[in-house]
Amino acid sequence: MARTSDVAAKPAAAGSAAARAGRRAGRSTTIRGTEVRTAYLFVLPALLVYALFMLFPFVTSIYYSFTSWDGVSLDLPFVGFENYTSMFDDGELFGAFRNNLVWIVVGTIAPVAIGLTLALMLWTQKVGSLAFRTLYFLPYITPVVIIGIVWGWIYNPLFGGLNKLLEFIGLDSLTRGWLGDPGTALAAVLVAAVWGAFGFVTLLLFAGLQSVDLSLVEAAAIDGANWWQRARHVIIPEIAPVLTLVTAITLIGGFAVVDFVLIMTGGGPGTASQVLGLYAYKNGFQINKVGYGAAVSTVITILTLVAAIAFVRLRERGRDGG
Amino acid sequence: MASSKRTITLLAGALLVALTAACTGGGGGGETEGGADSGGKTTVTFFVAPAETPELDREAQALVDKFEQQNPDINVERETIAAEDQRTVIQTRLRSDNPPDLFGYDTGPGFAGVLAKADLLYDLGPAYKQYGWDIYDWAKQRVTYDGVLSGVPGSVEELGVYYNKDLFDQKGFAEPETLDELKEMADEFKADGLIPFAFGDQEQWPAGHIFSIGVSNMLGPEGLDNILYGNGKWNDPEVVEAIEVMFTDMVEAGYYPEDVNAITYEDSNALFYSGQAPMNITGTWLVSEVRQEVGDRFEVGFFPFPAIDDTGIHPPGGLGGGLFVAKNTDEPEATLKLLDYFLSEPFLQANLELTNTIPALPLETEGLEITPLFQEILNDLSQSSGETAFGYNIDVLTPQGFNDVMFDGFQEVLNGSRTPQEQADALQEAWAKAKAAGEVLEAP
Repeated sequence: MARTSDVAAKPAAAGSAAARAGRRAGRSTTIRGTEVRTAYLFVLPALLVYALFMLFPFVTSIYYSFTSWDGVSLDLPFVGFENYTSMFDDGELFGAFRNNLVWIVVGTIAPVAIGLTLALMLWTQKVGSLAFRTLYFLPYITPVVIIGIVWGWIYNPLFGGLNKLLEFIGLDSLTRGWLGDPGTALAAVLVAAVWGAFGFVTLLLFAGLQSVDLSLVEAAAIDGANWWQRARHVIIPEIAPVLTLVTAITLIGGFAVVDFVLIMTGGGPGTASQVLGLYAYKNGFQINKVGYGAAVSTVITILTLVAAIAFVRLRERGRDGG
Repeated sequence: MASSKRTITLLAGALLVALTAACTGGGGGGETEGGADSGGKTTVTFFVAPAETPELDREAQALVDKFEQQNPDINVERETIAAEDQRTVIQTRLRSDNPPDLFGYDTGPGFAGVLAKADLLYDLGPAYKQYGWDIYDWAKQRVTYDGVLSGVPGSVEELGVYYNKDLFDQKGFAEPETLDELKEMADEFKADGLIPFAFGDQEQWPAGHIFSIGVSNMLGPEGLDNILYGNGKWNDPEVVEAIEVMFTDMVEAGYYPEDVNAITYEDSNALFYSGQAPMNITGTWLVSEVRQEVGDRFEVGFFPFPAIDDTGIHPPGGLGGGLFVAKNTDEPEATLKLLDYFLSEPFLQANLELTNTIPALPLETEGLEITPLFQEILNDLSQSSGETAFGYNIDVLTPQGFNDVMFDGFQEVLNGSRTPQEQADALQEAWAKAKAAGEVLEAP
């Protein structure tokens, strides 16, 4: 009996435990449901802000790109894909695209290369690292307008420091109006932009370097790996996620660039330093072709998305491949 | 624990409500902009570009303060907006619930013309009759869109050449009347190590003025009318020659600063103020600044750009913007009262003395304190007729799409990457497009 009752008691106990577990699970589900609702409530404000200030304008902009709206009247004539098809006959747009490509290549590689070099140097530097980090980061927190104006002064053909320096070291033949020469305008603006960006890259990569396993680096050194080999085969793979992130951010910035060009050259001389973002702005806000400007903006967004996704995929594939 | 979770949930909810209210403008708040304010005063908002210098801007504000003293029931909120931001700010604000009651804006088809087309401007025709504003007919035509008188012309401006009288006297030069005389002077100044003309085109629009001078002299107002309102073309040989004379020849002769596309308007003016350039090609809006910057260091004179070959002398003249009333103004009466004050003789005389602003209506100037330079300009303006009739400042009469081609293209002409003929063809192509789109001014 006792045995039976024992046996009987077990399932009963088991049933009771299952019931308790079920009740616990039910309570857990209820708690999880509350937590999820609370979480959504926390996320909702940010989501609303994002929807209101990012998604809504983005969707509206796409709609405008199918109209010939002048930005002022209440009339938004629908023109279908006309704004997009007319891009194929727009020479200035292709010129701007070429400049964007230059910007993306140079404006991504240069700050990442400089930033990585400096971050590695700072990482191995025990003295003055904080001071240098602060110094390198300063350009990044300086407003773009200030950077643009100051570099504009440096390049000024009447009193600029660059020409004075070149004259001082006997390279008079190289002096020129850097921002007014079609051959140098874009490069001159790019230099200012790279100067403004490398500090950000340096700081992020330096932060990434803090998680590198030093024993691996030491082991590589014991195995005879030189500085470059240690960096190439041990350190950089360790900071790959951060490196991917900063490269993607810089790359996206290259597509969306407007500020530096607008402040320093306005896209000139002529259209020598014109970029897609500025061209969209010019159409939308200066010559009242909002529809066309919106179409150019949409194309920039698509190009940026495609490039960013392709870059991240490539990076992931490279990492998976060893 | 449960209690703190509930508190957090409530806080999150409250934050959400507050944020939503903020995003949608909330409710229950009293109106603080426009209309009657808490003190029972009527508030008129007035958007305007800042004066050339902070000192001049303070003087302009003082004139508005005087109106408030004379009209204690009206409060004027004067807000200065940088010229480059005006387009976006004004277009956006005119569609808002609180549009500026009165605002200064360019009068061209690419500016106020666009606003008029969108039905955003107040019809001032009845106000002209009610207040008896005696504006010049040609000036009224510039602010009339689709037959509706929608603005009040601002200042009258002329493009010409400021010159350093001391340097001219040292050389024994008089004001030149032909291009050859001007070139001889420029050559001598250049030989002395000076830059003959202060000119910088980094902002692009200064080249539009140089072009206006050349094409006005070459074609005269009739020829320009033929292009603007008739069948004339921007790539006619006279226009090509004007571009050659004012751009290619000047650059090749070294009359403009080197790297002219890299020099800003301010820097080019500084070349003149510092005595490094004896001549400065620009407009009469700079008179006050010239007076302030040069001071007593040297005397400054002003002459219209001389005749090219055997053409006449037709300095571009026109309006330096205008004043417009928003169609949706809440306070039309007070706004028109302010506008009437701006057109009253005491205000115009004070403004003329303080900021050297030339009004677009007849004004008694006897007894006013006027500098010799400004008097010279006033004389020059009053002599404009027949052979010396004004030409036009092109960019205020043409749509922005055309101006864009003009500005970009002249930088390329200045750096030698585009020929005068190519630029003229590009201008004509842009003009044909604008004409087809109905963006050009109607014939007066």
